[in-house]
Amino acid sequence: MKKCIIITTLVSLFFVAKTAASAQEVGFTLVVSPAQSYLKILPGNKASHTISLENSGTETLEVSPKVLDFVTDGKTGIPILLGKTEFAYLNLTDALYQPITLAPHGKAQLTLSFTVPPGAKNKEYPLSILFSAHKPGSDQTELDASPVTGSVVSNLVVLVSDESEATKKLTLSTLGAPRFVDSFSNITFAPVIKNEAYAAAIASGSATLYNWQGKQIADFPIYPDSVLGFSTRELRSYTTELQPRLFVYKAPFLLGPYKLEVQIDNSTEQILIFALPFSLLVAAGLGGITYVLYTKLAQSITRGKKL
Amino acid sequence: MQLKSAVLWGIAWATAWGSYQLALAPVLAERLESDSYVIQFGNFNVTAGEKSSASYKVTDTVGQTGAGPYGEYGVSSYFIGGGFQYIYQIDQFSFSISKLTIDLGELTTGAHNTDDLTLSITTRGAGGYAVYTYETKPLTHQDGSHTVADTICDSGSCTEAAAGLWTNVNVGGFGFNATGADAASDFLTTDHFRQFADNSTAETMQSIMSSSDIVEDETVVVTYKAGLSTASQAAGRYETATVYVAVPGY
Repeated sequence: MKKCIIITTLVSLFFVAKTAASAQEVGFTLVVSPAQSYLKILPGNKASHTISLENSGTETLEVSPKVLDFVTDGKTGIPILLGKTEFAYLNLTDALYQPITLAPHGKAQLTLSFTVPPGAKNKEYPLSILFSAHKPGSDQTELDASPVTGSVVSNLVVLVSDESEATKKLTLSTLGAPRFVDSFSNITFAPVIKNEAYAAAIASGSATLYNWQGKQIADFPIYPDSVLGFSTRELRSYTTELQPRLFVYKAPFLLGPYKLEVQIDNSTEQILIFALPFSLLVAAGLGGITYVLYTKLAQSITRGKKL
Repeated sequence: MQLKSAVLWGIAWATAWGSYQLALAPVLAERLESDSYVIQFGNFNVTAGEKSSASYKVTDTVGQTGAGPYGEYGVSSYFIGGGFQYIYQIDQFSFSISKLTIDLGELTTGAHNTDDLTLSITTRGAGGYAVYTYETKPLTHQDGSHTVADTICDSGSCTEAAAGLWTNVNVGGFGFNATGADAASDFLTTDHFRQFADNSTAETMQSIMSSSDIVEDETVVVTYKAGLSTASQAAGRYETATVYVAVPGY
């Protein structure tokens, strides 16, 4: 009985110790809000923008902010960060140079202030505010373990403009649609829109498919994605639940010409897509070739036997 | 009698005129801020807050003016979410790393050591997100003079941008694998590894997980692997710092 109690206690202590060791493995959770913003400043005016930070993890974090420029990848809405910023209207306050200490579940705000001189050129400045977080004191690297650092970004697009409403100039760069599709496949297309103005604009419009009779068989509303100034972006549609989705038309069998019409603002582009049973033709061709090869082989075997 | 009527008319006109002026009074909004704080989305109302029970959770704001929605997606040409509750449309972006140290143990030839961590992303923005990573320097021995080169995988073809199969324990190096629904597509299996982009040689950090959609607690497991190539490399503990940068889409 005594031995049983001792063994049970030792086993329990083992599991408690194991659990405690696992519980000591802590990480990092940083929340920024807003994730992206748009700010318009008239030349000669000042403005400010505030970003909220929250440490939702269990470790105290030291967070260092840094403002960087970003460029678009021309296709999606994911910024490509550059190593520095050339934005000259950001007031370099102490807040940008002092690390922010966030206790577990602690919150803080970083306020950026801008001063745009009169006569400043109308231009858009895509910025990313990078928050790099690490454990305080982790600069002294423990040489028996490799430290991991996390950084989170909040994007801010600053438009300097004296226009009450910036000129909108969205055009279709390409329809991204095939000319031929197999009858048993889907019609998939990915239009790319180009913003030829200096200010970001929201994509709007629709894509419509018509069959050979001119009857509308599908209509895709365009998701209101933001296209930054002098950039391109691949368009998306959306579901009835407002979830973004690709442009895909599914049908059990497609045959003949289909007209795709994409309308963006006041411009419209069209393309004819031809659906043919290519896979059937290939299968038939393969079947024919296989038959010919088989008969020729059979004939040569028969001739060989006769000899 | 006439004087009395005149006074009464005068009072009536004054009351009407005063009411008219009050009705036209401009609406002023307060931006509550000081040198040390800014109150975002201030709202004067009758009642507000979070209410919950075992079967529901609701937030409400009662008594604000002009509460929306106005318009409807797919029906009208506009949509306005008016009112404090639409704060939830304004997105937060959350990034988690399960641990802040990686322990690869003692490296020796003829063996690969591994350790892993988990990345987690939540974003309400329909622009999606991307997570990039890089190393601050090559994997370096405690003595500071020996390094382990970034892996080139079994075939010698993997880079910081393209993963390759790495299972041969006699092929040393340092690399990582990323596994998850949003992991980069070149990580075909858990045995496909990439190098980390080396910041000390100005290599560009690379995306390892991304999505163009809204995600909630989307996770990717990053497995670090290291091993020595030859016996001439010093056995022992090596370390480097790795950085993960989470970027929301717009």
